Amino acid sequence: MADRLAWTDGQLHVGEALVTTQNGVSINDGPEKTDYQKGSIELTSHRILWKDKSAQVELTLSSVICCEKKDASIISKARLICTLSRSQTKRPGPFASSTHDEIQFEFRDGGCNEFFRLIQEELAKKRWSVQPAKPTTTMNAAMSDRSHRTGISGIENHLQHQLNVQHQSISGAFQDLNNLMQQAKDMVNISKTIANKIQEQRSDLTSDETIRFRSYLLSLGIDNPVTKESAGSQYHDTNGIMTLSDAFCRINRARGYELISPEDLLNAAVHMEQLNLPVRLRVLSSGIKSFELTNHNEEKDLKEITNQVESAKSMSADQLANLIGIPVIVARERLIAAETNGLLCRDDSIEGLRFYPNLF
Amino acid sequence: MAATKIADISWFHDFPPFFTLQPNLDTRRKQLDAWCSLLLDYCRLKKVCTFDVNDASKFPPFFNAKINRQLDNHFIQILLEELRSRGNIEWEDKNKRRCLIFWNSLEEWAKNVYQWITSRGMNRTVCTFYELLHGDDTRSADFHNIDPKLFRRILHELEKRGQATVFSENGADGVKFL
Repeated sequence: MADRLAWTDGQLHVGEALVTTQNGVSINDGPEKTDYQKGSIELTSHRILWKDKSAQVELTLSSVICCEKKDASIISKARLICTLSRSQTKRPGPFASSTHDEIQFEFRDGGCNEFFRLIQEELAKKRWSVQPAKPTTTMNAAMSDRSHRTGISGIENHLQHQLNVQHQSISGAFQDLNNLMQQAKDMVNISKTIANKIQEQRSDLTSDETIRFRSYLLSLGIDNPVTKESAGSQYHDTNGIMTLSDAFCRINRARGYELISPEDLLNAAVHMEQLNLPVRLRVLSSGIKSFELTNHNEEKDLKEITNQVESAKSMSADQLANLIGIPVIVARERLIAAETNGLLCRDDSIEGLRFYPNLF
Repeated sequence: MAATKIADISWFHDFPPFFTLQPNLDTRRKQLDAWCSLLLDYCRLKKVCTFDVNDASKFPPFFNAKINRQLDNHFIQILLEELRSRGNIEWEDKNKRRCLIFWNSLEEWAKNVYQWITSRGMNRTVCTFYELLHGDDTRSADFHNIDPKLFRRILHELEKRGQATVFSENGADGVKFL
């Protein structure tokens, strides 16, 4: 059964552990001597590796059905007789075929007992089946062997094979994602460092430039999660009210990766009030859902808007939106709220809806 | 005349929201107050005593070319109804197309006219409508040159109070104050 022997590079695979080594071991194909004499043998968790100056071969433990010890006698040295299974496909090895079911390791320099004990242990543990070692060529070979079979088990095997392939490609993909995230984290750290430096050397930069730089970082999706500090001036520009859609864009833009879904945001928003957070969900009269700061002072806010309108004499919703950087729909809502409070009055003409200070 | 432009009567006329019916009810109340006083001041100044809804678009207070605003019909209806409820107009027809405008209330008018007559010692004399409305003697009276329909309405009020008798002779209307 020496055709079970395969060429190898002699390197341990990932997840494979070396158990013991022994010099002066020859390989017999059945009782017949082979060219592989007096090499060193290694027992690992997955394989038996044999090498000398000219060749390196391996025998996978999974193909070993059982192992017997034959003590030394007058005519021969101590040897191990490994009975091998037939189900393995032929991998490139030194022997194209063999008539024997077994392979014998002849221990010329002793160590047979110890080796025998350890190999019995390994065969009992079957570590190769718990953690298949890479490279996976062995496995794939086994797969293709099985796929030749017909019948229900053949179909099952085929499906199993497909599943395995999918699983491998998916885990491969996630491996990539993990790398990407790792790199993104590095970017975040870099940007934090830069931001800190900016803060330290504030005197050198105008606040305008700082803000612009931060907004660049923000738009690249590189910043700490959105906080009062990181969002800076943009945070206050919203006048205490921000539509859910705006918040969604800003949060995800600031996160850059590991994005959240609109549904998540809405669900989170619904629970904010119960959790006593400083932000709560508010449905505007137009039906638009928005976030509102809990400490948002409606009266003061409307007063401010009225002041804006007064200094401009009159104002439309989109002018106000441009002026204080809020969405038009929110601006309109604010103006109408001020009107309802009697602070403003409206001029509805073909030129559009404008609001004036209430002079009545 | 001192004030000839509407803007001189009320600066509101140049205020664009003045021409939009305000949805806030408090604001609307004040807006209607402002409109009523503007309209009555205007009518007093121009001695406008009647109003025809069909001519609303030509009625100067109802538009302002300078700011390119004008009242829509709905607003005009609301205004007229407001004036009626205050006793400042009276519909002449069932369709509510034409009305008399009282920039003074009917009682005030009656009192004013009777006082003027009494102060001139014209009680118990007979006067024609024409000489009272257009005569030189009444030039200083605030009923001088007002619409005959309005004048007749005032005299009817006085008649009700037993302070005048209106009669018609040879097609000329006359009145005798008691």
